[in-house]
Amino acid sequence: MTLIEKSRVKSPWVLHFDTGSCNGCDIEILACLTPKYDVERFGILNKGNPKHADVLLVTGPVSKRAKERLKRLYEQMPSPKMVIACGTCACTGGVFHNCYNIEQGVDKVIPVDVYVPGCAAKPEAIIDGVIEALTKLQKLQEESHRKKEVK
Amino acid sequence: MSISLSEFEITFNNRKVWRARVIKKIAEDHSIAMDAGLLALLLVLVPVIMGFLSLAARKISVQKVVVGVTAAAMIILSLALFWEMYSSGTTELAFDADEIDVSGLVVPAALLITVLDFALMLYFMYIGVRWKNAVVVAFAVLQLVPLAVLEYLEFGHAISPSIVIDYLSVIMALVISIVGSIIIVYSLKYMEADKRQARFHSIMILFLGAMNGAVFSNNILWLFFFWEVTTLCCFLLIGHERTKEANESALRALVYTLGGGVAFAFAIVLIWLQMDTLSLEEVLDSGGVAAWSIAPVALMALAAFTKSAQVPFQSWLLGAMVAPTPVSALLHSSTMVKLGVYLLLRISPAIAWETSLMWLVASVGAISFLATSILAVMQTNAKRVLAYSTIGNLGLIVMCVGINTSFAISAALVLLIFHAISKALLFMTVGVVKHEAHTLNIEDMENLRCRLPFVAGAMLIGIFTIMLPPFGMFAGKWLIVEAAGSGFPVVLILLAIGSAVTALYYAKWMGRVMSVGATCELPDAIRSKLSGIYKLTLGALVACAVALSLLVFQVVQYLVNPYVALVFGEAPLGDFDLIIPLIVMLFIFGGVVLLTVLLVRIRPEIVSTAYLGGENFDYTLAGAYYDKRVPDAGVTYIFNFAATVVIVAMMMIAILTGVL
Amino acid sequence: MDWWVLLLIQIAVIIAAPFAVAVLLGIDRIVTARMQNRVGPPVWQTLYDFFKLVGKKPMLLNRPQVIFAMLYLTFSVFAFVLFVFGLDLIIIFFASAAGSVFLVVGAFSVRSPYSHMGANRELLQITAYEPVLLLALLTIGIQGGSFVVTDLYKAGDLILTLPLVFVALIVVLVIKTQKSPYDVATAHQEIVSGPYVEYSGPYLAMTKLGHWFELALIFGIFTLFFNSDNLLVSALVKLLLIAVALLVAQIVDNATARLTKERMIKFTASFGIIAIVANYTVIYILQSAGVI
Repeated sequence: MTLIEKSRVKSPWVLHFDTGSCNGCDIEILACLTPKYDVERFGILNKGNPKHADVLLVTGPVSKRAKERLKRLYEQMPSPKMVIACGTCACTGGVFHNCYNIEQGVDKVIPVDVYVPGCAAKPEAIIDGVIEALTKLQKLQEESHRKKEVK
Repeated sequence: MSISLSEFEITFNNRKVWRARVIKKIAEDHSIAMDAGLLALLLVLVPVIMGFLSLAARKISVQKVVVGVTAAAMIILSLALFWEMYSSGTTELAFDADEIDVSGLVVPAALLITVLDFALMLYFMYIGVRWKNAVVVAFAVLQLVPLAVLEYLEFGHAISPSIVIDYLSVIMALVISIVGSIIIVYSLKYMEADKRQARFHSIMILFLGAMNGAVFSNNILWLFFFWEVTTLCCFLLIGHERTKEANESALRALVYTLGGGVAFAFAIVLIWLQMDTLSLEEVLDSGGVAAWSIAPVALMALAAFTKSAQVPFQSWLLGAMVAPTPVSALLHSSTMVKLGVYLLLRISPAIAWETSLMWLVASVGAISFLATSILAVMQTNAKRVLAYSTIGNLGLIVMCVGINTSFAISAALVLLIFHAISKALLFMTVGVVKHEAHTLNIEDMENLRCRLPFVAGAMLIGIFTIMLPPFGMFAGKWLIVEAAGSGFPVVLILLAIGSAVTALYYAKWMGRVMSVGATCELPDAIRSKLSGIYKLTLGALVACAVALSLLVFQVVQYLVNPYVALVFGEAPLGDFDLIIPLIVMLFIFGGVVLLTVLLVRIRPEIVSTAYLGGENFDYTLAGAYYDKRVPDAGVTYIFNFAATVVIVAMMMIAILTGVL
Repeated sequence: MDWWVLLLIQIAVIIAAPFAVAVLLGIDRIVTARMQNRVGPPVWQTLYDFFKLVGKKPMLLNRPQVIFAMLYLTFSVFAFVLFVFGLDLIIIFFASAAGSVFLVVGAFSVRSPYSHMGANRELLQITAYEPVLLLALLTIGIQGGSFVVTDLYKAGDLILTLPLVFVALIVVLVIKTQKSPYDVATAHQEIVSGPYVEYSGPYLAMTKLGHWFELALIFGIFTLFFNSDNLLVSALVKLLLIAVALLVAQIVDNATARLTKERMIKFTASFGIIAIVANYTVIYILQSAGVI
């Protein structure tokens, strides 16, 4: 693994976006940043700016208004990027599934890499989800290496 | 027609020890000296004659030819003068020009100047009466009476030499002629729609002649005459628009500069009474041994302060911004206000006679610099920002003169040259923006890069050359070193704060002009086509600014050092090491810009939008409003008070040294 | 020693400096974490951040933004290079100041509200710390007898004669390392990232590298305060000075909240300048009285 690829796994900067959530999952995400769970030891920093972020943590069922904003934020993130849907609302619409005012989950709007279920998702689960995303990134990088070697 | 000087004298000057001079030999053939003197005379006479021609010509096309010819002639003459001085190796030439022989017709120059001087003072009185301003009348009378008495007492007494050409004069003549010529060509296009163009152009050209006369004069009365002529030109040009505001500003300028003239007149009388001479050289060589020798120096410094609009006299320069932009570019940034600091530079050996006077002069400069830096932050009118910036830079030069070491005077000369070019460039770009975009507000200059790309580029280069080290203003570096070594700590603090604040308002302005999207999507109707004359004049000044920044070592070696060596006996800026890092910085700057422009390709897929929290709406970007934070009037009041205290102290020192 | 050996050492220092600063910043993060009862990232975290940014796909708004980021980087490097080669402090200061202004203009050159706000705040920060830095450098030069860095290294014990200048420089360090209470420009909760908001990927890496060289210069200026003929003692005390300065900045950072920009200017202008002036006056008096 090259230095840059290792650094991508070692330093995921997070952008958190709430698309209409009840704030339950948002509070849990915030709890991850506190000393009790301390995600900074994985190099995770909460950046408010999509241009600086690698990982997009989305909570909430995507309301119609939030759909455009979510898309724009996703586009403003430079690749390589990962999207994690936190909480059941983000995964499938959750409690609000089939309501008229929401898109039924984040993957209807942008491509999602990891789904973290739960209502609200536990901080341990969220951290697990981020690690899952990083593992996926690592696997994707190794695959692209193998493809280059085959060629 | 041939013009010759009758009764010329070339003097080699052996001076006393306190002021060592470098003695240079020139060839036995006196033609070189004559050529230089001839060029100097032409530099004064050509503009005067052309000025009257321009006034007489009624057709615009004739005026354009006159202005163009004058500009070309001035540039060639001033460069020829520099070449004469350089190739002959002289550092100082002195002449008598009391009578000029024009193929047999003897023109009594000295008599002519005296007569014109008194006519001028009477005209000032008439202006005061006509505009019902008692102060102007009083000042004119206060100038007239002592000088009349002086003329009566010294009538027939020849002052020798009457013209001195040294490198200080050459530097000033180059600045006046080259920058001035570019500005008068620019004003041809700028004042196109004006109905009283003939008057405008003729006064501008005449003014250039007066400035040249002032920097070549050794006879203090002649210097005073040319000084007052520039005051008159300033009054006439500020009032050109004939609106109520213009007339008020013109009168205010007249009051302040005439007040300085009164101080100057008293200084002349004191010099005559004390030292029995009216030659600047003899005054400076006297070494300050005469009893009342500090008082005239302090009075002349006061006159210089009014002319250069130092705090507390700055309000006339601010008001003068109502004048058309070429006037602001020529008079109020690169030439007329430089006459005040020229006088200070000329009498700088005399300022060194009294240490407290040095300190006080430096304080006035430092207070002006800090005051105007802070006040400029609060302005959004581009011309007011530039006016404050001018006063600030002149304050730096005044500070250098106050510190009065060889390093400091070198720094002052370098500052003078580079500031004249950059400030004239900035004023000219602001003028074009006013004509094409109809705004002087910095906040409105947002899309300038799209609408007027050439002008925006010139404006940016102007701001770069004034503010950033790789370009001309690195002279501030020596200023700081000198201030550190001279033991004037308060001055140092004001300088440090002032220079940081200067960066603030210039960067703010630059940011406003820079901000634009990835591509310019403006309809062609808004894109203006720039006139050829604007491109020529702006391009010429940009080329000067960049070229001189590259050639700064040569500028120092061939223009600055000869004068500093003359006055101090040593030329400290010969050290190549000091200038290499700055040249390297310049190349790094150019290299990085070039490389990035070539290497970074704007492909559509990498262009993104601004981060607005995911939103997408139309917005206008507002600037930072500093004027709401700190009150303009309060700051002005504090600094005016401080500077007044310093000037009063200066006058008291002058009186006390005379009495004790 | 031979000139080429010295040159090699100097080049090695220049190349090692950003790595050293990155490690220092990593240690900084660990100490902060421990103060906050957390574990904290590994020491190399800042380097991982940097290389990750380099590997991102570039994204920009317009070309001048990149031009000015590059200029900021090159001028910061140039100022540090001048310092390592031991040249004149005032020119070094000017080069560094020019670099800071280029960053600000780069932030202005994009049509983004956060960027403009950040740029204005950055300008105010510069207005706050530059006079203090300049006066500190001048006092060091006057006291040390020369403005050239190679001469100042022979001066020896500036920390004993100029302690208040050292303290004033710690205030400058707090602002430069973007720590509370004066992280006004990159106030994360208020204006997201200030002047850096529209930079991403490799361009953000450029600005980060420039910032590291700026910090390297400030740490270098801290090392001027002590020198001795014994190389080991000299190196240890210099490191100690840097560590003390950074630790004080840290403690202040963790103990305070962000203050307004007006208070920043007022504080640095009053405290910083008064401290330096007081130090200089005391030294001047003591030297004229012949005590020192």
